[in-house]
Amino acid sequence: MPSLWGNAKDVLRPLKRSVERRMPGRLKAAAPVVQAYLGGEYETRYTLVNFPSLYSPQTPHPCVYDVALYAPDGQRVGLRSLRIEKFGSVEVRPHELFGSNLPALGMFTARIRASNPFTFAYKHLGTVTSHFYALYADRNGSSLALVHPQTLVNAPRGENMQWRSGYLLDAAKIRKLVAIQINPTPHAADVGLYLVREGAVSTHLGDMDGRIPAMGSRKVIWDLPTLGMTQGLFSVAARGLPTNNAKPILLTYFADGSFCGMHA
Amino acid sequence: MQGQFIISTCNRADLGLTALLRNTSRDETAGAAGAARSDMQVDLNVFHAGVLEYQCLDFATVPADGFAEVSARTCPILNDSTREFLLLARCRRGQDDGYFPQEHQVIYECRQDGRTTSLLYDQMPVMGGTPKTNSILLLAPKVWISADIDTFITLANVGSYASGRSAGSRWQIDFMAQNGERIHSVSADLIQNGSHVIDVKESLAGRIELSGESRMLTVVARGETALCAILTFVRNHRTRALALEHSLSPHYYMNGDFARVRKEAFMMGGARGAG
Repeated sequence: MPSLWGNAKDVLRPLKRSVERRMPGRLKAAAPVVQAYLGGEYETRYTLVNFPSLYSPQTPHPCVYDVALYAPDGQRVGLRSLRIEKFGSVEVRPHELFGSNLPALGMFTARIRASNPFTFAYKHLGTVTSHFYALYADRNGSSLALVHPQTLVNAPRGENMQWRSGYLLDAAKIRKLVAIQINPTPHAADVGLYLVREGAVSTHLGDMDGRIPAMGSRKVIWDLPTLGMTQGLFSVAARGLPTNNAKPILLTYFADGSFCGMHA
Repeated sequence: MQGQFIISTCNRADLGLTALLRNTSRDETAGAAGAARSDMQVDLNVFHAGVLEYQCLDFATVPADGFAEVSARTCPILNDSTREFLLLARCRRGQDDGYFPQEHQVIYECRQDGRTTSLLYDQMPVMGGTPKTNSILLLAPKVWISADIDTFITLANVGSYASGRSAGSRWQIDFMAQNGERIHSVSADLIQNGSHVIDVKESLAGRIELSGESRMLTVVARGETALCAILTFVRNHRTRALALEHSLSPHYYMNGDFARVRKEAFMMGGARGAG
């Protein structure tokens, strides 16, 4: 019997795969992709693109992104669906989508789906992951930061990770460092960020421990002169991350009040 | 173990380049941590338009957790701000020829006003022998232009590692509006081992009306390359704001039939319009 069953499976599996190849099917999408939202003194824009049509230009279709915004406490502020034409893109300005009463900080999520749930067009793409960037600016446009997302909702947890950024930051040029952390999981995350001075003997200072609610976010600010950091190189490190790639976004402020930003 | 870090200058936007080559560990397993404790040897090659113009086979020895600076101070050819260069930093730990992942840092500083922007990205595997070229598809939904804002895209196109090789590869670069219409399309012969800068505003001069309100576009580029590092710079000339991000390959966005995607993506080129 086992060999008969094994033989049957050998026949049925290719048959099943062959039938699946010929049947229409939904665009398979990975979990929503997430990125920090900055309001208040900042402006944030996200750029969603209909990349399946650009990857399959012979059979292009519109697509839809389901997008949501979450407050720092993890409460959902809004949920919208955006249709994007073939080969097209959308620049999302959250206040236009979710209203003007938005939090100063939060998390944006986006998940792509086909506009027509049953189509042959994109089966060969396998599982697709939503594609967008975030552009952060201050209110007068004197600072810009362009950052790609790094993690998905419910990615593997990273609370036991010991992480240190590869960035070498120059305390002689930077006056203030801002780190934004998001927690795209259904569990609160206990995390800690700190600074590490480079040198023969690395020193560790500026501990910022905290708990980020499920689907929440937090902002950490280091005033470097207050910490006695006016020269030398340093980096950012973490005791635990909400997911294994939920590294903070860093905004480095200079003496003239402008900033640049990057994923850490 | 080895890897190569591909860097492009962006003199077209009047940006000076500094790179900090790091010797850290990204993988926190015990084995990787041990490997990271060894020194990292760096040789540096700088190309312009396919020609090797500077080479230093023992550019630096980087201790664990240390860094080596590549800048006009340590690599004098970078004082030449009139041409674009592709820098190839070959990094080695030990004798094994396998790949090791390592992020390095680039810093671009505006020569006029001193504003800087910075980025971390990964080194790539070292290709043995004559590298095989393959098609590449860039999607850059991160281009803004306005009366004040411009976007520059640098493509550091690596071909054969040997010097003096300057074969080209044909690339098609499409500028797409948010409604999916193709605003403009240009063909470019990107020389291997050269760096190429797309000035979006200049490319679209006379084809798009600019105002004080920024307009977001997508740039789609297709071509043949062995390896390519692509960076996008957004710059506000009035406020001096400057942002930078690298591109991600299609592997980040799909996991299916890449060969078919590469083939079909090229079918979008030529006469077929986007409308």
